[in-house]
Amino acid sequence: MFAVVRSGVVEGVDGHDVSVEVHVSRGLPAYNLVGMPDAACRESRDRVRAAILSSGLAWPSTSRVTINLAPAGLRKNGAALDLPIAIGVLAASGQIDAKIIEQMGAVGELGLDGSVRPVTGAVCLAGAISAPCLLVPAEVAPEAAVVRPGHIRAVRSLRQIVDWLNGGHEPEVVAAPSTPHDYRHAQGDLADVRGQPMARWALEVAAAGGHHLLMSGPPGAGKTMLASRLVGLLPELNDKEALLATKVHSAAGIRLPPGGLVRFPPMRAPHHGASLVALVGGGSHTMRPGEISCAHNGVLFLDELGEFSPAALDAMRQPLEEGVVRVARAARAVTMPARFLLVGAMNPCPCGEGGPPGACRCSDAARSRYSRRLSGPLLDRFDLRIEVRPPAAGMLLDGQAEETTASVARRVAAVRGLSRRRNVRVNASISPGRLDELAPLTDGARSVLRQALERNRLTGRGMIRVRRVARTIADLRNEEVIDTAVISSALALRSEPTDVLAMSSRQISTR
Amino acid sequence: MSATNNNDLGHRLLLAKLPGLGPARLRWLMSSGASVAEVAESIRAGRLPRALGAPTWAKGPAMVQTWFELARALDPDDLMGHHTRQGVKVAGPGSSWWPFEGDPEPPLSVTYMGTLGLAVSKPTVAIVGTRRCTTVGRRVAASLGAGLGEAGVSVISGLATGIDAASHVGVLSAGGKAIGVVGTGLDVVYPRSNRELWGRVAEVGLLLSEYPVGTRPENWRFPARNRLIASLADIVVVVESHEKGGSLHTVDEAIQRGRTVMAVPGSVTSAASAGTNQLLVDGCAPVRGVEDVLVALSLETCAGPKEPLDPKPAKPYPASLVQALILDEVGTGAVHIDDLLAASGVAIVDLLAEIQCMVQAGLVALDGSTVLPGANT
Repeated sequence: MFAVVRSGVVEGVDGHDVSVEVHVSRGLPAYNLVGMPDAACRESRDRVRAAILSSGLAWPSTSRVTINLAPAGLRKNGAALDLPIAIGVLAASGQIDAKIIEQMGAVGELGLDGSVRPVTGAVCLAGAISAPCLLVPAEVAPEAAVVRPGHIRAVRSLRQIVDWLNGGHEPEVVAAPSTPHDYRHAQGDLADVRGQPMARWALEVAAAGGHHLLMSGPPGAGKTMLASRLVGLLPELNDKEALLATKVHSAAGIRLPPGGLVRFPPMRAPHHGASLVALVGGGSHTMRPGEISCAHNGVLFLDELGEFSPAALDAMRQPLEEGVVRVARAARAVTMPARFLLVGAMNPCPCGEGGPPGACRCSDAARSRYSRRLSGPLLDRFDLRIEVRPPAAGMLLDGQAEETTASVARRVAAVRGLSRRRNVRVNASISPGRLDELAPLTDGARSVLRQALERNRLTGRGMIRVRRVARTIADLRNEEVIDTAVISSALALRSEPTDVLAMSSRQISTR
Repeated sequence: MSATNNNDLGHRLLLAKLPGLGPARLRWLMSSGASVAEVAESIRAGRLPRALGAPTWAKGPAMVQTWFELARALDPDDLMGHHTRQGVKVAGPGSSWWPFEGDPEPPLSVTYMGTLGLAVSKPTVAIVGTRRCTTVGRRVAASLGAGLGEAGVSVISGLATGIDAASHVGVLSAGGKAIGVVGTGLDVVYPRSNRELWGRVAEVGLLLSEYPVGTRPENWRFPARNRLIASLADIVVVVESHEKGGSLHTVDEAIQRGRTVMAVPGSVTSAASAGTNQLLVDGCAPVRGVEDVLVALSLETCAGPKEPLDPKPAKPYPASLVQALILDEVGTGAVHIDDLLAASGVAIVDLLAEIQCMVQAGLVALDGSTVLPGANT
């Protein structure tokens, strides 16, 4: 006897359709699972057998059971195939009707007692399995319903499915997620940030133009607080972006927000101990999306930037340029989305007290070593570099509430609208060839730039980035042409921390 | 130290090579009354000079054992040859120039590159200070160095980072005479960041050490080096020092030797000036500019109208009211842009534009979001 059940596996952020073919025949009792299963998948044998027996059903113990996971060339990972295998075995051994289940897909891990357990990546799986009826573990069924409302049935146990197919109760059909729900209040409002006008303004510019931001400042200066306010300034995701973000989060096993759909730009803040794979994605058994993909269309906040491993940081350079990350392993390669707004935070020096040289416990050499932890190419990608100071006590206690997130977000949305009208996603992605057309300079501004270039304060690539920032600043001021003030302030936002050691040796060599 | 002929230089180098042998233990070793050569030979033979008891400090016997083992493997003539091959010269009490005549704690010998005559020609001024100096301190040290260099005064310093390096950068830029006294072997550049400066001093000035080549940096060698700086200088000028800075040790050594100590006053809010300001309270003469040092050297009769410490002639002026206000706020300290925003009341873009304009003119410097005094103020 033979039966097929549709199912799927997740690789990267994409689901792949998998047919579970079960053949039960007479012969020496055996159980063969073929089609490149990984260890977790191969172990399904014992779970499936126990689950079937605990559900009061019969295991074909005198037959030869062969299971093929097609396509045979795709590696199958995880335990999500437990449920389709069990259903296939029951159908092939004549305990349920094999005809009905042809129209049916299933994902889910089985417990030894026959219960159905949740799996990661339900959104990606539901999108990939085109069966008209898809059985999904009840816990993750709302996720799956985001992509295929009306086709998802939430199941809790193997017994429940068998009863239904033999004429019992139907499992509930899960509807599309409830009405949109603004869940962002937990991120806090910009009005809570007292004082710090410079930092607030830099946040606004970063959000409006999509420019990467580097904050340095002593512990307690409010770097994390500022970063968490940034994501609130970004506009809501459109339907396509929201679906993609939801898929990525589901594949990464991150809890989805109430309502199921990731409708607002996500913020990810991995710890500085994060490995390279955790950041950019991959893994030896399963290809999971990394933190940079989870932050797609949102904010990636790296606190203590200097403490991240240099290899992990440098691995982000390619995604920063291209907006996608390509992870290649010996057998396969996946491409995952990774376009994010990078926000870095670091202490000004190892002791963290900060201030100008000589004011803290750190020697020049220690400061210089610390600032060198960031590779030049990575530092170059931060268009906005600001120093954050702890607000004064008076500001914290008696200061008035500042401008709210909602009011700043309106200006941000306006600037982003201008960018779209120019056919660019955000100002930070204006191509160098279109700068003269989209970000015209006055003569004064041009000479300011020339001076900066001649004094070696700026590289060619730096100049392009400065002009993009200037475009954003001018947009915020509702100005079409970029004048001296705007270009100068863009330059000032890019100020390099003065390397004291380099300074003194430069003095000698020029003499 | 009775026998002061030139032939015992190898023996002197050999003793200087012994680990942990600082000025105090050397005094103990020489208290037997034997000559340097005799002491060195007896250590090579594996025993302490007669009339000397067992070492009194903790772990002394073990240290003496290591001396014996090391000295057995060394040959005085080989040591001398080794230095000559590396282009390092050696001088001792019997040499034609010996700058430590009459010093209470003279080194056994010195290794040097450059002109030893600089160390005995007067006048000499030591400029010392903290390694963790401020931008302002660095600038003051450089301009003092340049001023003294122009006046023909040799400038002594320790070639550490911070004030030490800045003063030598200054004196070299003025074409003056620089004497670097270091606490490692002359082939062991420490700190590495100063290797360019180190080479320049050896080339056009004098680079001097108490230790044979190959000596690694060790904490105790730097205070020992400080006594040589104090001994060589007529005047010790402290530019910046923290409350318990190493430069204050140089000051102690200078006072023991009757040298004049002067200090550059600093802001009371700057931790890097706490030590120097205390020196002023204790009665040191203040240094307002290079003239004060020249007067103290009797090279100038009175400190006339002050030129600013920085020898830049043309002084650019602020181009707008906002710029004037920014200059005022910055003064000699450091101000965050947030404070300037509050003080000026102009829009952030306009303020940043003014600051950027001033940075290009050299009126201020921008470090992150902190505005500092510029090179031309």
